[in-house]
Amino acid sequence: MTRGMILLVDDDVAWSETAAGVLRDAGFDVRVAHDGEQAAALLGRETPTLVVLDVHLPRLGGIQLLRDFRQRNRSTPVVMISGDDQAGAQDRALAEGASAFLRKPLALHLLVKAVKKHVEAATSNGTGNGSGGEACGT
Amino acid sequence: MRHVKRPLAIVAGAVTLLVVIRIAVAFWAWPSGAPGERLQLFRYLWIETIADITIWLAAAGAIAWFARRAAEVESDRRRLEHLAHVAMLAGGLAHEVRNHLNALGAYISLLRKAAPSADGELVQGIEKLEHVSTGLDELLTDFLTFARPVKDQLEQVDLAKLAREVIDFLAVDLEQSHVEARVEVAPNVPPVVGDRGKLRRVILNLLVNARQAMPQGGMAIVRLRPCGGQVQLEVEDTGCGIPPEEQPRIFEAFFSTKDDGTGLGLAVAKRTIEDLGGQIGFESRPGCGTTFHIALPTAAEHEATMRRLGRPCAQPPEPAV
Repeated sequence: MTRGMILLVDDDVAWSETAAGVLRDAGFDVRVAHDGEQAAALLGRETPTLVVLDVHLPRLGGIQLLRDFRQRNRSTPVVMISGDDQAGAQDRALAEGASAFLRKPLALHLLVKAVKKHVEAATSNGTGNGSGGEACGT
Repeated sequence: MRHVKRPLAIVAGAVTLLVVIRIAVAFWAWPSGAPGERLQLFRYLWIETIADITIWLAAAGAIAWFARRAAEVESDRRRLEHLAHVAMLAGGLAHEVRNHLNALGAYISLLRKAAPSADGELVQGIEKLEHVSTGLDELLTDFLTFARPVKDQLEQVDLAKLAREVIDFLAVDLEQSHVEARVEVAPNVPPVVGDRGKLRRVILNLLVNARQAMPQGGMAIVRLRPCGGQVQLEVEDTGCGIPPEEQPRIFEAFFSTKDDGTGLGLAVAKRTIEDLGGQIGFESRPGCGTTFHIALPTAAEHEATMRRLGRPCAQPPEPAV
């Protein structure tokens, strides 16, 4: 039995395959999507235990995808990843209800650590990340 | 200087008139008797004249001072009006740019769908376009937050809880950068009143700045303590500090020392804090670190002020999680 299903969304194919391998080794079942629309379609069909989501994605941006997902689901933790180091993107991710923000280049053991932490938090309180936000703006 | 010269000219005229009247009185009432009486009258008129001139000069000084203050206030008001006008135009322009940007985004998506996936160079080019377009959109969002702030949704906010939430959100990023972050809260820190999202953004911005100032790692400490009718929040880092020549400009909009910074983070933070009747400042020693100080009125203080002004109070405290 796996520790849960992780949806990993990143347009960097090589990186996402490596990260998926490391997460599988840690006992998770991992699905990978390489663009926003593909991820949205997958999220429409099933609900993962946790989503790892890149901010910059082709077709549908990570923040927009998070916003759409939070309309339907407020409890599944979402860990955002970005190669940019701007407080603006981090703030928007937090405001839209992301649980954590990781920056690339990222040590993969830290990705596993973050995923484990938020999966455990979500399964232990049964209601999700708790930091999931409020409506943003008017 | 027109507003200063005019009262002075009036006073000079009045003083001349006064002296002429006094001389006329002296001629009219000139005693024909003993020289002692003439001397007494002369002295009396002389002293009266000096006393009058002194009083008139003091009055003129006061009038000139008030006139100058009024002119300064008027010019400040005009400058603020002008700034508000420019901000409004810039906000409108940003909205227009964003509309075009949305269209551009749609065309980029179409282009991506039409492009043969085998053409690696073309796909890479389209990805770059997408990246630039997203970056511009983020810059516009930041700018619009600054130029046309949305109305605050005021509520009581527990700053300690908010700071912990932000640190928890950034935990892995901080760990990766070898930055140890903690929150130190003094006993009995009361809640403040503010827009939760905006206050969270202030704390997040200060923590991201702190992390960026410590490329080799270090400590970031958020401190909270009550002080009179205010709550003081400090964000201290052990980073590289802010060079003295940059210190006067760090709160300016679009001033940034980072390659990919928008230069709006601290400008928005200052605006958020000052709009809530608080103050923000910092002290920094290059090579030792920087501490940002924020002081915000407590919720009780805020409510007392609102009651004095006859305005509605903020919502009751957020429910504990």
